Amino acid sequence: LPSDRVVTVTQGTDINVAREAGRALAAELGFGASERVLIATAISEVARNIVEFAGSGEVELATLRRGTITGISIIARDRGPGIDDVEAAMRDGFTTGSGLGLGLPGSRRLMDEFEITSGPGDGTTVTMRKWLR
Amino acid sequence: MTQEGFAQRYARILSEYASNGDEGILSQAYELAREAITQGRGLLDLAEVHRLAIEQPAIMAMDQLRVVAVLTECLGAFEMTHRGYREANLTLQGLNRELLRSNSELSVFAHAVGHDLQQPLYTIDLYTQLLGRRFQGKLDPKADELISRMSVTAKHMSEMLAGLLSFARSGGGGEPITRVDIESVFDQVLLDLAVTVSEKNARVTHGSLPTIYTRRLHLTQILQNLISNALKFTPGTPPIVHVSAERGARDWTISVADNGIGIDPADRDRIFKVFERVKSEHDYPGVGIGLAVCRQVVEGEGGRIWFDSRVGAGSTFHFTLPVQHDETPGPRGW
Repeated sequence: LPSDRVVTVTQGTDINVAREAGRALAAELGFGASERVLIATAISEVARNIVEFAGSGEVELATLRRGTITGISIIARDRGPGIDDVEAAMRDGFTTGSGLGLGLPGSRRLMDEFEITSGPGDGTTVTMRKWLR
Repeated sequence: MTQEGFAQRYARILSEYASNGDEGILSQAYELAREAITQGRGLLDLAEVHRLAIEQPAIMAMDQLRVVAVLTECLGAFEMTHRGYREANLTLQGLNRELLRSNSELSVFAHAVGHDLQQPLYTIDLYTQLLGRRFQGKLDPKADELISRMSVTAKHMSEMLAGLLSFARSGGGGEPITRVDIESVFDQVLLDLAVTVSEKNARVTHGSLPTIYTRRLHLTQILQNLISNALKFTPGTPPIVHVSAERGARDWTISVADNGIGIDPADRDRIFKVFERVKSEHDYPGVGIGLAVCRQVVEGEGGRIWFDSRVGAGSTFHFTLPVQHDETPGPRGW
């Protein structure tokens, strides 16, 4: 059975655990080497946001089935201060300064689906999915 | 982080990962690439540090799949920003199309206003002149004067419309950026102003004028307006006008100095506005559009225009034109 997992993220080393778990699940599901790198990259970006802005949270890695298609789901959750303006946070350079395409908008482009819900005081949940083709 | 620092950290990460295959090390590779990107380093910088690392015999002897994994991990970060630029480029293309369309609509409008209003105005002027000729001396003297004023005003309005047309054209852009020898533009402008120059016994000189990347027509328009103003606003004594250029870090500053009447500091803000006149039209003929055209053209090119002046002691107008990328050595790595 594919190894779905929840990784608690409070510090930098937890990001590695989440990446490794994501990479392992992606490999089990049959994602190729390049796609596994992109998945690990997206996990890095969302997990790094948890450490940097919320202090603690979790990254949940799960298998997806839609009809005959398989995918990977990555959900990053925290109960931090939340984001005032989600639309602004999804614009390039909002949290990353000079690095166009890094951060949340960067992760969005690496995945097939990307949703974010957040509000002041409610914490932030980022849901990303990538399908095997 | 210098390129050397980048190379050292990359080589250390490569050898550590090759010996233990730890995810934490791979994560460091990713963070290193991310840092390199925010510093503006390119893919070729990464290629260089990778080449330097694998030249070491110790690393060459290591597990090559792991060596490739570290490189791929770094490339992941570059891939992410690459997708960002691709998307930003698409957005910009859309915005640019919109901008071009709105610009061309605006220019059509300004052209129509400038052009279509000329004809009825011409007719008004014609009837006024006919009226004057037909009834000269037959009405009271006051009427003769009013008729003559009407004609003068109609002519003035016609000049203003012509100015508006040239103002609309100056916003048109379209001309590509090419190598332009400023000195040849200077020569051409002087040829156009030859009559005024000889009438006023003016001396128009220039310092060392370089070849820069810009739009020739725009530069011509700016220099033509500034030099012609310098000649116009120097009454009495023969005008002495000097054009010079200086290279800064990010732009060229081109200056036109004269020994004219100077500008009152109080007029500083008005002087660049359309149809604003600081001096009476009687003493200095013109419609008050030259400097507005200069400002529009200069700002359209991403530059600034300003002046230094003392009343009675002459003025120097300065404007900047950005140095284009082709004029500088390429950014590192590319």
